[in-house]
Amino acid sequence: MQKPVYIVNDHILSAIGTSTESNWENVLKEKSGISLIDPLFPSDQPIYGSQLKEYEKVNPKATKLENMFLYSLQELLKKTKIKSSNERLMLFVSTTKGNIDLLQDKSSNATDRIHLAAMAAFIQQELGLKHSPIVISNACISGVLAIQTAALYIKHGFIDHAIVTGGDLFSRFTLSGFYSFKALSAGICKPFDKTRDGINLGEGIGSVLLSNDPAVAQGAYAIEVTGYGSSNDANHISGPSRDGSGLSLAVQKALKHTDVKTIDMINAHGTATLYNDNMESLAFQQLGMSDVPLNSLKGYYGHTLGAAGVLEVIISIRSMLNNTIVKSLGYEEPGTEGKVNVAKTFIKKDIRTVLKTASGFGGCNSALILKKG
Amino acid sequence: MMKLKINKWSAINDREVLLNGESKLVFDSTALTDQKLEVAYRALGVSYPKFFKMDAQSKLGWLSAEYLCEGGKLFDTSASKDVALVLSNRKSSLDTDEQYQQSLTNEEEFLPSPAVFVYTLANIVAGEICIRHGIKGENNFLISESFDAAALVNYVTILFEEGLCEQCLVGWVEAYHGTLRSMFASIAKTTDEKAGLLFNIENLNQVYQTSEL
Amino acid sequence: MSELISKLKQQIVDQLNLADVDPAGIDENAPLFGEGLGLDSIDALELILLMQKNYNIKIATAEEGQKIFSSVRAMADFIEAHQKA
Repeated sequence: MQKPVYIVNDHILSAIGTSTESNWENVLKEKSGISLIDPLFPSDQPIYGSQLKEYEKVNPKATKLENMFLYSLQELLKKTKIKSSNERLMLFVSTTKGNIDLLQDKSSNATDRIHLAAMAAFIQQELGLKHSPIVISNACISGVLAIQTAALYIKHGFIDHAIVTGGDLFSRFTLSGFYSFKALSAGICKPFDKTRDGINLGEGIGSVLLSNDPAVAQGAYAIEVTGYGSSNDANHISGPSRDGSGLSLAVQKALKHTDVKTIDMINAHGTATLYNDNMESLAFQQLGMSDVPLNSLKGYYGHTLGAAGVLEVIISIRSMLNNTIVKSLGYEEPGTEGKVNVAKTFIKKDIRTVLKTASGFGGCNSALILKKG
Repeated sequence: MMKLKINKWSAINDREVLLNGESKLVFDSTALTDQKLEVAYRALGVSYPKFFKMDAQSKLGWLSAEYLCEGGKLFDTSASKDVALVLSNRKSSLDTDEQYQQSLTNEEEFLPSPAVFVYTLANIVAGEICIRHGIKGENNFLISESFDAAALVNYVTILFEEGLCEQCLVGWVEAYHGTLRSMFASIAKTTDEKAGLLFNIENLNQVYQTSEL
Repeated sequence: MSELISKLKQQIVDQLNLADVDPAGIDENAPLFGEGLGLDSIDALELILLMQKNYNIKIATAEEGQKIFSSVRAMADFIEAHQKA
């Protein structure tokens, strides 16, 4: 008999807070972590992004990103009875570029940890976790996909508990790449808005604890992961599909055990590029979800890449626990081909079932269904 | 009871291209990586201009899938949404990351290339294969310190048991500093335990080792 | 003009890695995008780089690029007009 899988605890480290609580408070105050930043390269436009001003150096041997991961994971572990040495616990790491700053910094003594698995192994050892971590690097869906992978590992009895942590740096490497794609917003991004003009990049960590035994939650909460699915557009390596059919496939799989009419809220990917948001709007319309309240959290965090999926799931869980749909920051007027019901304000509503989606380079899409017990 | 089998497998290393253990093409040992990849492409006799826009790792993965289906179709197009692609390697996209990073050092002429940057993600090779073969099912890219047959077999088996896929392409693909190493296996359900090679950790490891230089 | 056109053709083939395309065989009046060479959105961005690198012409947006890159001849016309200005 397969047991249900629950998310039972979490932690966020971001530009707007060093705990989930402070992040949630700042989101409720509509505080964005995005600001004008020093240009990291010659640029003909102002660069906005969401950067950690300070971070705790948990370990002098660790890189910036590793310190961020270690801080978040230690904070998460403090909140649970599960010991890091638990035989039935496994770590899943979501990242797109890991310690990418090491490519520039040849003086570092951590150069081998440019390898994502070596970085993850370092984190595992520092925390005293028993098993080798699973590292997932699948562009911008990595975080959502890591939660899917961990949930399936638990459901199929390979483990009982999992920590999924997602993180990436705000780096010159990634920033210049999105600049070359002319995909950066000239201001603070405006997901789904008529005047949206591109993304902001951001950095941070999102960490969740999954378990088949909510008792280990120590009273935190138990949000069940009831559906999952990923897909590929099979269309283009950087441009999203025009019609949203790829994302629809992923959502349909996630909805296997859930009636689409019961979805109370969609937390979309919403990067604020013209094409991504349009693609998503068409997918949700096709799926008959045009009236479901929807938001994107990119206006608060920017696009935090490997962290995004996990971090956004955590804020969505806060929404469920507080029965409050978060305002989609930056949205004023509709500007997508498909009809979507973007949250212009904070909405008080009983939220029992949430759809979370993500899409990314390589044509990939992913979806999760979260349920409140 | 449902069992999974390895239908067939392909591999490319610095010496040769293999299909089910049989050598299909032997490279000139003095050839450079780019030349080897082009020779393998020309030998297929197919026309796919996008091949030349890819980085070495995507070319390698694209070729591995192409040799697996011997220039034909990997899967029935009507099944495309039920085909999964699960890939892995150690270096992620480090080969192209280094090349892209190098292009950022010129402050005088700061012209980062989107055509290079797009390949600085591990899963772009998966995207290229999905485009070529119309694969629309589950995607995942796992990074491990060495070939991790257990992680691949466990995850792919779960995907089948969950009904998240009906067929799967699973493998390893890595091109780094002129070294090529790939192994792709196509996995399908079977009711006949004696039919072909069962998909399990031991057999997948063995296939990987067989294709080692 | 014809010299610029043939130089442009070679630069396009190089910048976009069009390995099997003979530059001389490109019809300078034919559309660059859509059918023909099968170029896509990344190629359009690469053509913007080509213009900046070789002709010191900055093109701000992909949309602006779309008009300029309608054909090789249109590109050459744009470069000539820019150089005279």
